[in-house]
Amino acid sequence: MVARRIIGLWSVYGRMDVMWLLKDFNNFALYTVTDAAINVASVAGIWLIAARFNGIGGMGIYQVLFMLGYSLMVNGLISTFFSFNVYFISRIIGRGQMDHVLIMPQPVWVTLLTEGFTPVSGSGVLLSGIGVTTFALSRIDNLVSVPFVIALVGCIGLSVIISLSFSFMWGSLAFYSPVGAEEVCTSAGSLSWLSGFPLNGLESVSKYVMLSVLPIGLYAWFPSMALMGLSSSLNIALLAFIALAYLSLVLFFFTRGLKHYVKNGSYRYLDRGHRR
Amino acid sequence: MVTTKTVWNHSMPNLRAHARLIRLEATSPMSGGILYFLGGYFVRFVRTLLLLSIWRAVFAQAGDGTASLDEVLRYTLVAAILWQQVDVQTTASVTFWEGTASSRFLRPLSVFGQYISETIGRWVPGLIFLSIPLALLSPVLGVDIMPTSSTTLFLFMVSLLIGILSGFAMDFILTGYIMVYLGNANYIASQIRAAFTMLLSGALIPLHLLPFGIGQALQWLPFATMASAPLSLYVGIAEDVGRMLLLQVSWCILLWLAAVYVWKKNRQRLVVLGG
Repeated sequence: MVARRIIGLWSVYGRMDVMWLLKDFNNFALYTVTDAAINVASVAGIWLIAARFNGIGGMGIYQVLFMLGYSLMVNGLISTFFSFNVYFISRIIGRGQMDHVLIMPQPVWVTLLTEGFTPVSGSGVLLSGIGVTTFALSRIDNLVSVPFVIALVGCIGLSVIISLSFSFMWGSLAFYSPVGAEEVCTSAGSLSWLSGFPLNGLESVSKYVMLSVLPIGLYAWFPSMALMGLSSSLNIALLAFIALAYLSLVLFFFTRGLKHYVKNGSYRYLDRGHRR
Repeated sequence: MVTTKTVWNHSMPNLRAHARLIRLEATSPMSGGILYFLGGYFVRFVRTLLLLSIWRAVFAQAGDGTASLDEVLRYTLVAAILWQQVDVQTTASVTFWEGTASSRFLRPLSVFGQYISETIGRWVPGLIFLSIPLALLSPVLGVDIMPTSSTTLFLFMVSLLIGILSGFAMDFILTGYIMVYLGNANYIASQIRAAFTMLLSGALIPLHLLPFGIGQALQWLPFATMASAPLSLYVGIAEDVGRMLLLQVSWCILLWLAAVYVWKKNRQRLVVLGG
């Protein structure tokens, strides 16, 4: 029942996204191409270094490229499914717009899972990621197999969960401090811009920090290394465990924050509609 | 009779107004909340650590005949310390996006001058919260950022100043076109500009370390005069200092002529959107 509802809502939001394309093609093309160009530019630097030095820290050129493609796919899935500030949840909370979510006749999580769905305008990054990954895989021998593809899809899903959880955890601060924390997700989310950086050269302490409390390495480097056989395949199980831990933490913080919001509301807007 | 005192009295109000603009912009970013305000600097700090670690990893693996690890680390850290100056982004595109640009045209001050003052003001928090801490942390990061000689320091400062001036002109040219032809999408276009300029100017990767001869070609373009030229001079990897400075001055003059022309031409066609 809930699954049907989610698919139905995705279908509605998908149609609205297509309508935007038909209504204003120039703007649509501009935003989609821009999104893809910014993301590709963000990973181009790392690839150029890899191309110049024939790899980075034990990873070959195409292995680095695979990692960059992975990172683009993770960011692309987020921009496809969690646009309109859903990923930057502190803006919705901080601006008092959780009211709109709460009055919907459906669970909060269903609204948050569906209202940011932009399959056409948000897919530029995802398509670039699929293209880059496919090209990289075509140049790496003896890697692609059915179990590999299943593991790849699973890992990407786990990286998306970790990235979303990290953003939502920080975003929960906006329940208590709507003004001060309104843009906190912008900073937390911008860490995903660093997801294409390999951590091979980092010393142990920094590496562990970036694989736990500051999960930059979990967005692409850590799972890519495991998928390509450059680290233990058990690391995929570890990734799943960390994703589960993040999910539990975000559920705890977010539901507590939401309870606070339900009791206290938001004081961002004056009666006249101006924002404080 | 025009005396020094008269000239001083006439220019003082403008200087005071510009000083006010600088002060206003230096404090305004803090109004968005400390988490948002410091978050951006934190991300840049982490990015710098990652870049330094990448250089250590690639040099440990392969090395390079054209530069030493120390030079590349110094280049990267100085670029991170001077990130606002080697990649000048004025407040212009944001004000056009927000619709607040119109007030700049009503004030009895030069429009370019106002944007320059505002941008300098915006540099202050970045200087306090990222540049100075990074410079102080350089021994901990294992990077020696001290200049090799006083001559190098002097030439670097001249080159950096020319690069900053070129950066302002480049930003005004792009904003001048974007604001007229892309309407309210100018902000997103400026984001693309920022992403590519960083790559093409050598602010992220030293140009001579780019593969396929890309760096050789990019060294002649105006982007390189903003970051690559001063940073290469500082690190001591510039091949021909005289030619580099001459190229910088030439591009600076050309860019400013173009900036003045573009704004003069497009000013009457401007529609301020946003709000």
